[in-house]
This record gives sequence, structure tokens and C-alpha cells, in this order.
Amino acid sequence: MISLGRMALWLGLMATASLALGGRTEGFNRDEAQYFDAGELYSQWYGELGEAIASGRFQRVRAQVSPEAIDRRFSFNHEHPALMKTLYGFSWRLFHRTLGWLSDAQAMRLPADLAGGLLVALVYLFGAQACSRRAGLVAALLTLGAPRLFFHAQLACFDAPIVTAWLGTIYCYWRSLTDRRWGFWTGVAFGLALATKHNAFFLPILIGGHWIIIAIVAGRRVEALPSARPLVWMALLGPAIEYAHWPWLWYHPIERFREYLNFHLHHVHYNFEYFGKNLNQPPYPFSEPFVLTGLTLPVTTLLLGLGGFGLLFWRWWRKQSAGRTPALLLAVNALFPPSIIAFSGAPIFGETKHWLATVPFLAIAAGIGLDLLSHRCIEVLSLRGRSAQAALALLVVMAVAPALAETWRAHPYALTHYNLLAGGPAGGADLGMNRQFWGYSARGVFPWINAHAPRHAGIYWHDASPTLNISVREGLLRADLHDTGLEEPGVRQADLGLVIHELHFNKYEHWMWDFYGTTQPSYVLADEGVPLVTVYERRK
Amino acid sequence: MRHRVLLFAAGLAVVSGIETARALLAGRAVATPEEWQAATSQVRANLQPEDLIVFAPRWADPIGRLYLGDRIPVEMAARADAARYRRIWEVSLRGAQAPEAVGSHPVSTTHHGRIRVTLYQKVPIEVAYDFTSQHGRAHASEFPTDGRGNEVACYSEQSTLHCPETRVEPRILTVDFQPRRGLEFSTSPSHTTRLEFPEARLGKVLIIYTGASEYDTRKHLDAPIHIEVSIDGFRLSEIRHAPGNGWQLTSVDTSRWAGVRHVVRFEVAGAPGGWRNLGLHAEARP
Repeated sequence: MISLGRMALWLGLMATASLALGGRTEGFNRDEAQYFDAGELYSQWYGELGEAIASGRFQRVRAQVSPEAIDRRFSFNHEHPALMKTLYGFSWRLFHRTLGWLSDAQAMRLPADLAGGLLVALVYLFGAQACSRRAGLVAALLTLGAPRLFFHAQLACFDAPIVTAWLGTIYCYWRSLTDRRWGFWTGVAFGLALATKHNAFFLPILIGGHWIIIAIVAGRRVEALPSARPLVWMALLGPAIEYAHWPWLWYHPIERFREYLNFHLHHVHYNFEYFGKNLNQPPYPFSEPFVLTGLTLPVTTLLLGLGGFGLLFWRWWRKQSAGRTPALLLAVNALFPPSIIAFSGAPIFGETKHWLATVPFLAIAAGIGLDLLSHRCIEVLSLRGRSAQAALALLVVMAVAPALAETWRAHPYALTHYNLLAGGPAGGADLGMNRQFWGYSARGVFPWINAHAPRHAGIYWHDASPTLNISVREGLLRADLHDTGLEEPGVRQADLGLVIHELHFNKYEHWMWDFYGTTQPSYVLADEGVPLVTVYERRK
Repeated sequence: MRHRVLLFAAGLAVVSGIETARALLAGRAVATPEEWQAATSQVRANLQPEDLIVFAPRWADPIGRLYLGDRIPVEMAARADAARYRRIWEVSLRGAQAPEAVGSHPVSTTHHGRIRVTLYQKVPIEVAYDFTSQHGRAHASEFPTDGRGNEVACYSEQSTLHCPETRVEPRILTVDFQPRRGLEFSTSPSHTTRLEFPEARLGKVLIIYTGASEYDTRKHLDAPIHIEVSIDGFRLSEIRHAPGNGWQLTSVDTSRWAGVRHVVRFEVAGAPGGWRNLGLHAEARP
């Protein structure tokens, strides 16, 4: 039989390949365009440092690590740690500039694809070691088959990589409960999580809380007390890795770390449509992250996940063994990420990307739930041999087919996608749920614009304007078109204007009616009949 | 126990089957361009000058206008309400009904695949005077709200009336995220803008719609805007437009002035604390 590690590797590679393939037709978004630029800048600094070291001249090395040289590259987009952006930049330098194997965007996105692959591999290992290989396989495929997680995992952003780092930290911590050597790796994983995105600040609360509960349950039985090593290594390696990987912190660690924290504590409130209301001021309706999760994850995944948790806790309640399954750890990690948004008075963010870490833990519970159900089915029906194998295979297919089909269906416009409960994208629109954000869907109108826009046309690009550079570099957009700028002056001056449909963007469409003298669009990009981007031309 | 396990497995099979099938066959539920063409051709062929075209659900509007936008002038798309229209063509998906059609009498319904076209008949309301359309005849002036200073006349450039602190222009306003045709007053915290229509023919009712035209300003400012309406110097109505009021309708009895031309004046005083745009549309109705 194929080893656990090898199976995890194959699943990881398969997931990486799916993401890389999907990424070829996925639009670029506003934030990603910033990270592309940051990746180039950061990797440039490392390149220059390498050259300085290779020159053997100490003065050059010293100049390269001076505050001025560091700030020249790293002050850009310093509201997020540098790890993923640096990896995007390294990948771009190697696979695009040096080897020429991949395009700009493919090379930039490759580390994110690999992080997605690692996530799937880790989920498999976690599920397989906690319950069974079948549970691990189902969990891995359900994680890959979560439409919005799949969307984010294709992008050179941080929202999916932090899920990998989060799960990695929890996995290492869980292993450390039975094998002290994993304490060190818990610290490493936590450091990498901090270096990926600020969501990691919450990990010590989760892990510390879980550790205390286990210690209380252990009581005076010293041999049952959990090792404190993971906590110690987290305390040591977390800040050390965060500091070491991010040159921007080197010379002013305290004040710059405070600046970084303050950016997120006082983050601007986004606009987010929720049941027809435009949320742009706290407090959040506490239901929002739970409802949005309930309307975007495949229903089968949700039912299996909830069923899995139900079974685990029922067994625990009946004092039956749940094997090595960390029911509490899984449940807390599934619930905690959306709860931060729901109950903390967080700024208005809205979209699932902020609590995607829920998905792998729910998927592992779903895998365990299916495994328990499968065993009971075989037992009840007294199936043996091939018929038992066939029944097991059928149950696995039943569990994962909807998730994979929904992800296939949602691509490339997964932010418009809603599940069976909502009634798909059209049902989501009927309910008045957020249609999209980040301007990524504009890529879908580029072919029409390339074919119809007059030479040197001035275009109002709406939310897509930050992605023009990469779109031209990728050969997706004509280079002669120009950007007329932002807001009303940009709309007024343009020959063509794009409206990316979000509730709070309606005013741009109304401006176009006013300034272009028509309410008739020239082109409408739709996902299953739901308008995403509308293009207007000025009447001559 | 046996039954419970099998019930769970059967439940999983049903949900999984439905979800997978719905995902794979999703495209079949979407109206095709041919269906849109057929539905809108029917509307186009039977359209009369006083007809309103609406799409339901509202999110289908851009696609509907892709086919029929040349028959939907800005005045129709950004209407204050549907009162003045005699018939309504409702082009509908997924069984949705447009709010404008509620209460109207359906005359005919035709299906074009996944699209339903319904013609509604209603009693239209004649508009005696449309203040937004007649804005070119209006004079504007501005004075300090606290009375410490003189009234200053505003000048007209293209269709905009420019005052030292404020401005009035006909625009499509975005109120509660919907398009509304009207006059946009850029209000000032310290000054009142006066807009005077010297020869407005009145009916029995004066309908005044007001709305804050920019969500950003509502987000940052919560003080109300005051609007005063007077006829021939007689103070007729005072409107307080607070954030969150949406497209607020005020109806004023003008029977005693009906049928004759009068001087109608709107005075808009901004909220203290900052600037904000107010949208206003008024109609004299019989």
C-alpha cells in the first residue's frame, strides 16, 4: 500500500496542479496587483544583496542592509508581512525572468499554488492520522472542493496561505501532544504563520486555551499533563521569525510593529452587501460570517462536517473512545475564525476570505463523519469483500462529487457563487448578497474591449484599474488603451466605462447614463445570468 | 439503529445527487440570448409612447437594457416613481415581480423560455409641472443661514447654477443605491440655497421627493438637511431629510393654487458639520 506521506505528496501535487491550471483563467485583483509589485521590489532587494555579497566588498553589503536601502524596497505595502510577497518575487525571478518557463503572473502565483497543495496534503495527513485514510482523503478533497477557498488559493495573496500556516501550526501542536519533538515544529509553523498574515495573532489564544483545558482534565496525573514545549517554542520562534524575515522591522522593531498592528486595528470599513443592505459601519450583524459560510460552502460538505462534529461529541458524551481524534481542537478551530469577525467588533470585511481557516477543520470533521457512517453502513448491511469496497467507494464519491462539481461550476467567478441553499449565483443575487469585490471579474470583458475599443481609447476601468499593468504584461489587454483615472472625472473623460457590479458601486453606472447619454450597455459580462461587469460607450 | 444509519446514507445520497446535478446542469437554468431577443422583440413591437419598461428581479436590469436600452431613456430609468405611466412592460426571470407592477392590472402574459413578459395597465397621473425638467427657468441665490450677510445671486453655466458656497444641477442621483432623476443641491453647513421657479403651473398636489445622493456622506454625517417650500411667499411645507430616510416622499395639498402659475421656492439649508448633497425632485399633479 502506498505510504501516508507519499499519498499526501500526490494529493498535494494534484491540488497544486489544479490551482495552477485554474489560475490561468482567473482574473487579477486589486490587492494582488499590489503584491505583484511588492514581490518584484522585495526580491530585487535580495538580488542586490546577493550581488553585494558575491562582490566580496563589505561596504556594498553594508549599504544594502542600511535603513535607506531597506526602506526603498520594503516600505511599499508594509501593512502585511513579507514572507509570501518575497516568495512570489523569488518565483517570478526564477521561473519568469531567469528560466522563462512561466508568464509573470503564473510565476508570481506559483508559491500560492504550492501553499494550496501543502494545505491539501496536510489535511490528508491530519485526517488520516486522526481517523483513517478514507477520512483523510475525503477531507483533502472537500478542502480542495470549497469554491471560495479554491478561488483564493489561486491568487498571489495571503488569505489561502494563512489557512495553510494556521492548519500547519495546529497540526504540529496536535502532534506535539503525543510526541514532544513536534513542539519545535509548532514554533516554526507559528513563526511562518505570523510571517504570512496577522490572522496568526489569534493562534496562541486557541492553542493556549486548548492546552489549559487538557491540563485541567489531566488534573494531578502528571504523566497525562501535556508538554509545554509547543508553547515555549511558539513564544521563542514566533517573534524571532517574524522579525528576521521582514527587513522593514529590523531597525525600528517596536514602533514599526505597532504601526503594522494599528493599521489592522483601525482598518477602513469596506462595503459589503448582506441581504440587500450595504454594510459599511460596525457593528456587524453577528450572523454574517456564519450565514455566509452556510450559503457558500457545498451543502454536502456542511452536512457531513456538522454530522462529523455531532458524532464526535456524541461519542465523547457517551464516553466512547473517539480514538486519537482531537474533537475539541477541530471544533474550536472550525468555529473560532468566523467568531472573531462576528463577536469582536472587527472592521467591516465581510467576505469568507477572512475566516477560510474554518474550511479544513470542517472538512476533517466531514471526513471523520463519512468514515464513521461508512463503517456503520457496511456493518448494518453485512457487506464483505468487493461489495463492501464498492459501497465504501460509492460513499466517498457521494461525499466529494458535489464539492468538486460546485468548484468547477464556480470557476472563475467564485465570489459570485452561492450554494444549493441560496440557489446558486442567481439565488445569491435574489437574496441581496455581495456579488463580488476586488474588481477581478473585469478580466472577462477584456476580449470584448480588445475587439471593440477604438485605438488609444480612454477607458474608465473602475475597480480594475490597479490590474491593468499585469493584464497588459500577460497579453490579455491591448497596450494602447489608457486609464482616465478615478471617480467622476475619470468617468466623464472616458470613451468607454466599466461598472463592476456591487451595490455601493451603482453610482458609477448612473454617472455613465448621465455623461454618456444612454442607458444601453454595449456589453454585459454575466455569471449564470447574473451581471458582473457592464460596459458603456459614450454616444457620438 | 439499522434504520437510522441507512436513513443517513440515503439522505447523503439524495443531497449529494441533487447538489451535483444542480451544479453540472446550472447553465440550463439561464435565459439564453435567443430568449432575451424574443422577449424584448415582443416589447419593442408593441411599445407605446407612455409605456414603462421594467425588469425583474432588479439585478437583471443591465441585461435587459442591453436589449432594450435604446427604448429606455434616462428619464425612464431614473424615474422618481411609476405614477405617470399608463402601461408597464415587465420582463421577468425566475418568476420575479417588479415593485412598480404591484397593484396594476395584468393585461397579457407571454412566456419566452425562461423569460416572462407581462403587460400591465394602470391609471396614469398627469404631471402638470415637472420641476426637474423646468430647472432652466429657475433662478438661484444663496444666503447665510444665520442671517448675518446678504443674499447673493448664483450664475448659470450650461445646466448648472453656481453659487459662492453651493451649486444646483440636474443629475441622476443615486439614492439608496437606486437611480433617481432630480436636482442635486450641494449643501453647505453655513449657507442656504434658494431655488425659485417664477411661473410654475400648479395642480392640486405638489409631490416632493428628497434623498441624500451620496452614501459616503451619509456614512460620515448624520445631521438632517432642511428644505422649506413656499408658494408666492407663503411658507407651505418644511421637510426634514435625515440620513436613512431613503427616497422620501412628501405630498402637499396645493388645491387653492391649482390651475394657475405661481412662484414656487425651495430653500435648502445644509447640515452643520460638513457638506452633503441633497437630491430633490418635485412634480405638480392634478
